[in-house]
Amino acid sequence: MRNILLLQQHSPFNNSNGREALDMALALAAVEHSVSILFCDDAVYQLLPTVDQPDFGLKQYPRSFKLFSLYDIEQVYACLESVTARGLEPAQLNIAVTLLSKADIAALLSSQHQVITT
Amino acid sequence: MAEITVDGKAIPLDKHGYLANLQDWNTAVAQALAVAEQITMTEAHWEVVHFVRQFYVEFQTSPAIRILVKAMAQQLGPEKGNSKYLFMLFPQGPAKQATRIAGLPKPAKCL
Amino acid sequence: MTRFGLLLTSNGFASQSLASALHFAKTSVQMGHSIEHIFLYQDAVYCASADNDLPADEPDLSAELAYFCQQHHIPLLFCVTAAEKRGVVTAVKQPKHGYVAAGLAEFAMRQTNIDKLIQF
Repeated sequence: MRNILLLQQHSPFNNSNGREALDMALALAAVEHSVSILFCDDAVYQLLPTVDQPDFGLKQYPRSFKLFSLYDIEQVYACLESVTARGLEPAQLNIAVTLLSKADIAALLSSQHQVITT
Repeated sequence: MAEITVDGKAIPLDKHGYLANLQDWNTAVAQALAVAEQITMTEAHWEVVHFVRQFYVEFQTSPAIRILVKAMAQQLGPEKGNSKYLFMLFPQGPAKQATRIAGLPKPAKCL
Repeated sequence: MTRFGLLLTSNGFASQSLASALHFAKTSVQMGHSIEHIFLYQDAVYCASADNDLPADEPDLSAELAYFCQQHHIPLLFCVTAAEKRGVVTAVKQPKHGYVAAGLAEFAMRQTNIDKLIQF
């Protein structure tokens, strides 16, 4: 069992990284690794209800974030600075996340065996 | 493209034999897909089929077997949320067969 | 000695990542470390395509990687779902020689047997 962090950095609009990172997270959790997920930079847009709009045009994979608890993924984080820099309010986010400062993020990174960037 | 005929109407399938359009699904289509899977639908089968459809509506994904077992155990109790029970109903693989009859996409191969 | 796992996620044709991964793998083995596996995910699965047609003056890094892995008995795996979505492999189209179809579940299990994961 390893502590593995998935570091999400991309918006849901530009590429399939977020979508495929989700599959990776679920696969890792399914074999009992301790998985954490951190939404940084434009990846915080994956947490907005925008993706529920019918004209999103791509698969609405962020709805599957509600699966995290079923997979025992309880450490779901967003970068506070990334959220505020984009003028977003924590209340706008679709799922419950813990907001982390830069110092918190450094501590989180140092507690991992592996970090996968997507 | 492959298709299945239900009440004289041709319903398109994808290349894995799953419904090409999710909105084509109804109980008659489910019956026809069950016949293709050589499964006689009982109340217990319908319960699982409706369960995976509900799962899809909520999470936008077809459940893999492990998660199907866990979610069913949480909602319907351990006597239904176990793989022995599900394999008894769907001998060729509950996730694969139940999602097909439910009109959902094929679950990802790699998970 | 360190046991490395390599995860490739960027498009090896569009970036230097494949060249870097190959360089890293060769040097690690030379220095007495081991590469336990190389796993291709996201756009890196394009490397597993048998159909890349490169002019003679462009390095065929994906072939070189396959050759290296074969020499050193390193499993060279790609995520079959990611590859199927991109049309890299199909029911009738085999992957490039030396590349083996695998699942994310296999990648997940392999994380237990390595000391460090390096991503390119």
